[in-house]
Amino acid sequence: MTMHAPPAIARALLRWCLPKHEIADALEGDLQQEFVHRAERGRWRAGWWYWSQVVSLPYVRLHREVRRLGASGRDGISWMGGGAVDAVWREFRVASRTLSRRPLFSTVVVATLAVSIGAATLLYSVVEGVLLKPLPYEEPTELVTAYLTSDEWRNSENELLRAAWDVQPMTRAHTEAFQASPGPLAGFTSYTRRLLPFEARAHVGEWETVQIDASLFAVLGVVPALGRTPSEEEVAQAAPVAVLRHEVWTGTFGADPGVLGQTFELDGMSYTVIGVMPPGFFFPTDSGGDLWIPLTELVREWPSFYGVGRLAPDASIADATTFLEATARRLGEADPDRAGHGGRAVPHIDSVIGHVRGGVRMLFGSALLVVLVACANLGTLFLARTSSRREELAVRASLGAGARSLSTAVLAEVLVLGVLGGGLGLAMAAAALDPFVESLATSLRSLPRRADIALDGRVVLFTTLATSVTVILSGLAPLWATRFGAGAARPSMSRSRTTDAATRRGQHVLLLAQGAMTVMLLAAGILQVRSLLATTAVDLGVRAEGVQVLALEVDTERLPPGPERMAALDAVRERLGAATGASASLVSSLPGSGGVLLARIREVGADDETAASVLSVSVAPDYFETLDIRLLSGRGIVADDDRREVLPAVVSESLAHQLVGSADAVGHRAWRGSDPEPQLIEVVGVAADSRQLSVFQEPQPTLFYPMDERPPPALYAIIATGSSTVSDAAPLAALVHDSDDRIEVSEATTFEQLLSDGVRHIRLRLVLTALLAGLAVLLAMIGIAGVVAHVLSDQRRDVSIRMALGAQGGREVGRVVRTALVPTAVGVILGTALAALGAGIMESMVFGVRPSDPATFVIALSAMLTVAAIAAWIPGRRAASVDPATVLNGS
Amino acid sequence: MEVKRLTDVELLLLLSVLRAGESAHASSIQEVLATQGERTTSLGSLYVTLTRLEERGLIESSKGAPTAERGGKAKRFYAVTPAGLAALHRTRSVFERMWADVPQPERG
Repeated sequence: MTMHAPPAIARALLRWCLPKHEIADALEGDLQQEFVHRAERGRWRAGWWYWSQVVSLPYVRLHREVRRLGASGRDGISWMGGGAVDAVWREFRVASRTLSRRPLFSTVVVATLAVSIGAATLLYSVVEGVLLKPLPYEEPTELVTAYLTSDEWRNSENELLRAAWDVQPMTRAHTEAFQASPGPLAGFTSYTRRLLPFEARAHVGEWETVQIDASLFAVLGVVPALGRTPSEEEVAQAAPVAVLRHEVWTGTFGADPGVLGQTFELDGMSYTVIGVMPPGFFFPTDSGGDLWIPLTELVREWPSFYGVGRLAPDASIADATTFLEATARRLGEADPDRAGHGGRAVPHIDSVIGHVRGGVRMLFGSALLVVLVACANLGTLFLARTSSRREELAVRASLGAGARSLSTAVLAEVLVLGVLGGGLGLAMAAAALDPFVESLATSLRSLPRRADIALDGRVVLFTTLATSVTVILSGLAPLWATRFGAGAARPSMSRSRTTDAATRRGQHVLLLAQGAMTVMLLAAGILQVRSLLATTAVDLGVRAEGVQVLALEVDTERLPPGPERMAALDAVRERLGAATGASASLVSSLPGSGGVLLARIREVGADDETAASVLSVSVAPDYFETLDIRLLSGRGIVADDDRREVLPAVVSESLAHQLVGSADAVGHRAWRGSDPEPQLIEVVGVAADSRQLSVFQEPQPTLFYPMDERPPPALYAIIATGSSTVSDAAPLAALVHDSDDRIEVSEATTFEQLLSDGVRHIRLRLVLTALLAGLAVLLAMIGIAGVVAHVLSDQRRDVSIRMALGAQGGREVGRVVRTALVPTAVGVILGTALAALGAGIMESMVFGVRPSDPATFVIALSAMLTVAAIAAWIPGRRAASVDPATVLNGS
Repeated sequence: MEVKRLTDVELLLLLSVLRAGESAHASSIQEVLATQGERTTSLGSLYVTLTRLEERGLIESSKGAPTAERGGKAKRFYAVTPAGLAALHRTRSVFERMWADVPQPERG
C-alpha cells in the first residue's frame, strides 16, 4: 500500500501558521492521519479536504491558548508578540470582508497584480538562472577566458572575419607561453573541443570531447563526484582515459556505480572511465562538453585552443589582458608565424552567457516597467477607493479611532490584495515557466544554462519582494492622501463630496508616471514591429516568390561521391524541369539561410598568406535563372562546366571588385583552396550581389562554382514553378522519389516559407515585447478610466446641478476628462523623450531600423494619446448620458 | 480552589473526554462529541478548547508515539484530572439545583 502525503504547500502553510508547540504537532498529526484515511477513497477530495482544514483553522485562538498554557508554567513558545497577532488578524478579516463586498474593484486589483508580478517573476527566474547563478566552479568570478586577437581579421573587408577578430583560438605555443610566466594569473589551462564518434554499452553516436590539460580541474577548483581526473603523466602521454559528465553517466552508463575502470570506444580507440563529475557541472558551456579526455596527439598541433585562467588575488581583468597581449606579441616577435596576434581576457561567464545578456536584461527591464505601471495603476485605484471611503473613515476617526488604526485599516486591505495577487502571480508564473523558457530560447536563438532556470527559493523571494514593493508603493498613495490629522478628522456632512486637493494631486502624479512608463514600453514594442517589417522588406537580391524548394538527402552508401551521384542528381533536376516546364536547379545552400561554406581565393602564384576568405556556393546549371539573380556580365553555370580543366566560376559583384577592382572580372583567373593543391578557376560571369548568409547580413563576396563530381550529400532542388503554396511542393517530392529512390526528400516547401522560418526568433521576440507593452497599455487604460469614473461619481451631484441649471452635459464631462488626460499627456511626452534618449540600449535588438528613428516615437506618442483619450471617454460618456433629474432625486 | 463555571462547550467536551476512555485523543473525542453529544466541531476548535481546559488544570495530556501515518507527529492523549472531575460534579449539582422547580410545558 502506498502512503499518501498531504499537499506539500498546504502542509507548509499549516506549519508556518501553527504555534510551535507539541499540541500543534498533535493537531497536524491528526489532520494527516485523517487525510491518509480519506486519500484511500479519493486523492483529490482528500487534498481538497486538507486544504479546507488548513485555511479554516482558528489560528489566532490556538496561538492564544497555547500562549496561556505556556504562561502557566508549561513549555509553550509563541512565535509572535501577544496582542499584535490578534489585532493584525482582526484587521485582515475586516479587510477581507470589505473587499469581498467590492468584487469588481478587488478583481481588477488582484488581476493587475497577478499579471504584472507573474510576468516579472517569469523573467526574473531567467535572470536568476542564466545571469546570476554562480557557475559551477570554485570562486567562478575569478575565472577568465583567454582569446587571441587577430590584426588581419580586425582590418578585414569581410564582415564575418571582422566580427570574430577578438575571439580567436590559440596555438599550443601560446598556451605554453601563458602557462610558463603566470603573471597576474594564479593558474592557466587550455582546452579544445572536438566531436568524436563513440560506442559504449550498445549506444552509438557522437560526443563532444573536451580535450584538456592536466591543470583544468585544478584551475576550476572542482573535484569529480566519482573517481579522479587525469594525472600529468596521463595528459603528457595522451593516455586514453576519460572523465564523464554527470548526464552522460546517468544516461549512457545508466548511473552505474561501478563505472570506474569500464571501457568504451571513442574514435576507434578504447578509453577507460576514471571519473564522473558532480551533477550540474559543465565545461566549457552547458550545451557543450560530454566528457573530458587528455589532449590527443592529433589536436596538439592545431591552432584551436582556448585558455582559461584564474585571476591572482588583487589582479583585474585588465591586468590579465595586458599580460596576455604582451606575451602574445613577444611570441610574435620571436616567431614570424605567430606575428599579428595579441591576447585578451574576458570574465569566464561572458563566454558562456555573454551573447544573451543584452536580450535577457532588456526583457527583464520591460517586465519591471510593467510592474511600475501596475504600481501607478494600483495607486490611482487605491486612491480613488480611499477617497470614496473618506466618510466611513472620518466617522471612525470621530468615534475615536486613531490615525494609526485608520492607516492600518487601509494598509490591511492593500496587504490582503497583495497576498492574493502576488500568490496568483507566482502560481501563473509556475504554470507558464516551461513554455515560456522554450519560446525565449527560440527568440534569443539559443538560451544557455536552461537547466538552471527554475522557480526556486530566490525567485520566490524576488516575487515576495516585488509584490511587497508594489503593494507598499501603491499603498502609500492613499495613506499620503488620508493624513487624518486631528483637524481634518471631521466627517463631512455635505452630501456633495468633492475630491480633495491631496487626492487629486496624487492622482495626477500617478497618471503622469504611468503615461511615461507605458509609452516607453510601447516604443520598444513598435521598434520590434518595425524590425519585423524591415526583414520582410529586405532585398535579398534573389527571387523568393514562386520558388518551390526540396531539401534532398543522398543515400551515401548506395550513391557514394563520384560521377554516378552527379549523374543521378542531374537526372532528377532535368526531370523536375521537364515535369513543371519551369527552370530548375540544384544548390548546396539557399540564399539567406546560413550554412554557407567559406573558400580561400588568391591571385595565381600568390602566397597562401594573401588568400581572402569568401563565401562559396556550388550550383547546378540554371541556378541564376531559377532564382532570378541578374548577371551583370558573362554567363551563368551551364552543363559540363564541371568537366573543364580550368573550373569556370561566377563571382558576385563585390567579389569582382575585390579581385580586379571593378565589376568587369570575366576572364580573370585565380586560385581556390589552400596549398598543396590549389585549383585554378576562371571567372565566366559576374552576378549581382545577394544575401547568401542571412536576411540580416549585408551581401558578402561570394563565389559560385559548378557542382562537381563530389556534390554534397545534403542539398536543395529549387524549381521556379510560380506557385507560392507549400502543398504544391508535395507532388514534386513524389516525382523525385519515383525517379530515384537513392535520393530522399527530407523537406518540401517554398523558399518564402524557409525565409520566414529564418526570422522566427524576431517574431517571437516581437510577441514577447508586444505582450509586455500591451499589458502596460491595458493597465494604463484601466488607471485612466478608473480616475475619470471616480472623479465623475464624486462630482455627480455638482455636475447634475450645473446641467439642470443649463450647462452643457458634454462640456461638464469634458472638464473632468481633461483633468485625467492632461497629466497623462504630460507623462506620455516625458516618457517619449526619455525613450528617445535611451534608445541606444535597443541597438542589438533591432534590425533594419535605427533605434533612434523619430517615426517610432511619433507613433508611440500618438497611439498612447489616442488610447488615453478613449479610456477617459468611456466613463465620461456614461456620465453625460445620465438625466440630471435622476441623480438629484436619487440622492 | 475556586473553579470558574464551565461553559456549555467545555462541559460537553469534558464529558466526551471521559467517555472516550483511556485512549482519548482529539479524533476519538470529536467522534464521541458528535455521536453522543450531538454537536459537531472542527478539529481546530476542539484543540483550542482542549488547550484551554488543560491550562485550567481540568484535563491533562500525554504524548504518544509518533507514527508514519501521522507524518511522524506524536498523538496526544487526554485525561480528565481530579480537578476536572470535581468541576464536572459541581456544575452538575448547580444544574440539578436550578432544574429542580422547572415546570413542564403546558399542553394545550
